[in-house]
Amino acid sequence: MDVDYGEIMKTLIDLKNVTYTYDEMKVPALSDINLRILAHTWVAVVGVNGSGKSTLARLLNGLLTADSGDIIIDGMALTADSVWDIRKKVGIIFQNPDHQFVGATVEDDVAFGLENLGIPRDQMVELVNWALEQVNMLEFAHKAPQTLSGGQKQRVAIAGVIATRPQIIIMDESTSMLDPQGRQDIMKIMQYLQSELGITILSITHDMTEVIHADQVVVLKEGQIIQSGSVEQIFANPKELAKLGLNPPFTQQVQLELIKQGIDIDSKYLSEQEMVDELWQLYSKM
Amino acid sequence: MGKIIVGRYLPGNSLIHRLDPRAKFIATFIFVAIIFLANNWATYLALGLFVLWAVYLSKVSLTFFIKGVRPMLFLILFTVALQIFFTPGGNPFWQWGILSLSKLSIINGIFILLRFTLIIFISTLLTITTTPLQMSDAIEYLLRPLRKIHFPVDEVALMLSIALQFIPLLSDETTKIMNAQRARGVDFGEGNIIKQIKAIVPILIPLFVSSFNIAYDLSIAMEARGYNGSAGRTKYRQLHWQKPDTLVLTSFGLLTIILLILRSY
Ligand SMILES: Nc1ncnc2c1ncn2[C@@H]1O[C@H](COP(=O)(O)OP(=O)(O)OP(=O)(O)O)[C@@H](O)[C@H]1O
Ligand SMILES: [Mg+2]
Repeated sequence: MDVDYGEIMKTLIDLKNVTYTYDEMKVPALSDINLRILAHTWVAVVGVNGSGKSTLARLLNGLLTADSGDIIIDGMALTADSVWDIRKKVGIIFQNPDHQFVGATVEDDVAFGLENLGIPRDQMVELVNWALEQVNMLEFAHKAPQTLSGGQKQRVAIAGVIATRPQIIIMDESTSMLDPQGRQDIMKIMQYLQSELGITILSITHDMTEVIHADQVVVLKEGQIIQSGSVEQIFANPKELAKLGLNPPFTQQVQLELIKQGIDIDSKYLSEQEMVDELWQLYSKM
Repeated sequence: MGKIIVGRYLPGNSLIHRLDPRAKFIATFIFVAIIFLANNWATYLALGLFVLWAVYLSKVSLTFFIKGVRPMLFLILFTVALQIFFTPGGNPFWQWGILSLSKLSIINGIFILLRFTLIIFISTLLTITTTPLQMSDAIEYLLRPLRKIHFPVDEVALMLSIALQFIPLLSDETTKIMNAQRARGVDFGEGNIIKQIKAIVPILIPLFVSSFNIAYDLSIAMEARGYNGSAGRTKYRQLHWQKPDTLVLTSFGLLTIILLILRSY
């Protein structure tokens, strides 16, 4: 097979010794962050309130400027000159669906980013339709935001971001204000975007069932990365995580406990049903 | 409160609804200007028939237009009364101090009444058949010449459209705050005026705080999506000037000519 692993394993985001302190704050919100994120992966960022997750998101597309250190996105250093080009590469979906709707209708909102880039109108029409199709919102194109549910508004926000074809999408607790169904819809769409469009996803979340899907988990505490690795590595020490208020979902707790007891069970992520299947198969093997 | 409607737009698909908002805007302005050409019964009759015809075309019930007059009723009657009693001249058949009544002043009063009513009808026609968003688009377009003197037309238009869009959200927010304050024992709509005004303060302050929060979040979201002022931006929403729009303006031109002819009779 002729696969270019150099391309697949490309480092898309590279942070070197990044420190950021808010004005009038004594302690830095982020201190000496070193982080590498590979292209096309799903990265979950977890940590308690105030640990610096949103600050990290805002640094990555230049909404905040680091005091020191380097931020390199897709080989391009983030500077005052490159910030508008970086923003084309990095889209953010924020937490509150009502506070990020700029357009008067769904299609106007999706077009907002394209208007900012000065895309000609006929291309905009195509891109808006394409983006709305990706998030299953095409039939709502002419609707006003107040007629949509929170989950639908977040889908529009996603469409608005992907319309400009970014390489990275950051979700800053984008599903935290949604009901379970809305959450599931958004997760499905994001997984589709990762697998079909190759978009790299950096998801800030408190939802442990979501963390399970990640290729890489980054744990922040008081502005520092205290752990970074695969889901298995991070959940290997649930006690440490519990101290941070991060408890793996029940299924995973059972799974981890069984593995610890030396029982031969798949260590990959298992859904509840898969776990049940695994357990009765195990039982029948004994 | 829920889904409030901004302005008085009534959805519909009539000829008037489908007109370009710019055409409706310009036509309304023309009407307000040429109404001052009217000086006799014939001219007012022509204007009245024209407006009724427009109302008919909009397929909106006449009651909405009459409702539009109601809030202005006091002001209209006051002005008409001034006109009737204080216009000197003519042959007064009744006089008391500076107050006088004559055939001339009564006719003048009726003309003023008609003028008011027609202006209210025609502007109601504009607001009833045009969405606030279309209005802000039309205003943006018509203000374009001001760019030459560096008036930030595009920014103002964006502000206007965002403001319109956030009205329902802020109204929801107000309801939430009122409920929260009620839960803390604030009585709304009770007691004397001072008490009622005092009850507004605990709504206004949280409402300000929450609007600033929304504005802050929104500005960050806009910046994250590459908004960097209006330079170099293209526009997605477009207005389409079509044949009926030209016809409407032509008909207003004809009306002007008719008025010019009739007024000299
Ligand atoms: N605009 C600001 N001005 C000053 N300090 C701030 C500002 N925003 C955040 N901070 C502080 O910086 C630290 C990190 O905040 P940040 O918002 O990044 O946390 P977070 O991990 O996103 O928290 P949460 O889970 O609550 O969203 C906190 O101590 C916070 O108080
Ligand atoms: Mg945050």
